[in-house]
Amino acid sequence: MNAVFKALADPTRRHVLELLRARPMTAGELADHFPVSKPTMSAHFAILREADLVDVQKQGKAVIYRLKLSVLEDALLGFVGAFSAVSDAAQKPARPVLKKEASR
Amino acid sequence: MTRNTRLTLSLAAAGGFLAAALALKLAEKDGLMSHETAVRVLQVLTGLALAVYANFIPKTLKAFRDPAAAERAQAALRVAGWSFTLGGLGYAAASALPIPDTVALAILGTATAYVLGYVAWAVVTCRPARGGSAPQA
Repeated sequence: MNAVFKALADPTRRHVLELLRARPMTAGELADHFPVSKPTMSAHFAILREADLVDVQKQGKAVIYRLKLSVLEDALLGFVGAFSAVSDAAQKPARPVLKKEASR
Repeated sequence: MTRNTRLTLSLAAAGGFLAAALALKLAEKDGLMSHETAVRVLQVLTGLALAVYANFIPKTLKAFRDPAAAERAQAALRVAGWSFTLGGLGYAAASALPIPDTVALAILGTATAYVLGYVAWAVVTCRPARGGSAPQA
C-alpha cells in the first residue's frame, strides 16, 4: 500500500492515471502530454508499474499502458485529485493579498 | 498478487464463510440470537465479501491486440468493479438495517442489471478492427 500512496503523491503520475482512465495509451502518447524528459517519464512509469497501478503490454515496437486500479485505488485517486484541486484553489486568492501587503 | 496467493486467500475466505455460518447456526440453536438475526448477519458478510471481491475486478485485465476492444474491456471491468462494490456495500448496509429484504435484493439486482446491460452494450457496439482478436487468457 506504501507504493500506491507514493505513486499517487505526485501530480504527474496522477495525471497519467487520469489520462489512462479514458483509454489505453502508448508511452509516447502519454509523454506528449507532459513537458518533461523521456527519462523522467520512464521513472514515473516505473513507479506506477511498481505500485501495480498500470499494466504494460508490448505490441511490436509500441509499449501500451493500461489502467490497472482497484476500486479502492480509483476512489483514492479521485479523492487525492479533488483534495489537491481544493487546496490549490484555496491557495490562489492568498497570493495577491500577500503581494499587496509586501508592496506596502 | 500471484495466482497461488489468490487461490489461498479465496479458500481461506470460503473456510471463513463456512465457519461463520456454522457459528451462527450454533448461536441460533443455543438461543443466543433469532433466526432472522442470524440470516441478516450472514447477508451482511455476503455483501461485504462481494464488495471486497469486486474491488479487484478492474485489475483482472486481459491482453487484446485490438485497441478498441482493449478500451471497451477496460471500461467494462471498471463499471463491473464499481457497480458490484457499491452494490455489495449497499446490500450489506440494507441487510443490517431493519428494512425488508427486498430492498437489499433490489440494490444488488440493480447493480447486476447495470453491469449486464453495460457489458451487452460494449460487446454489441465494439467492432473489432481488421486483424483484431479475442481476449487472450
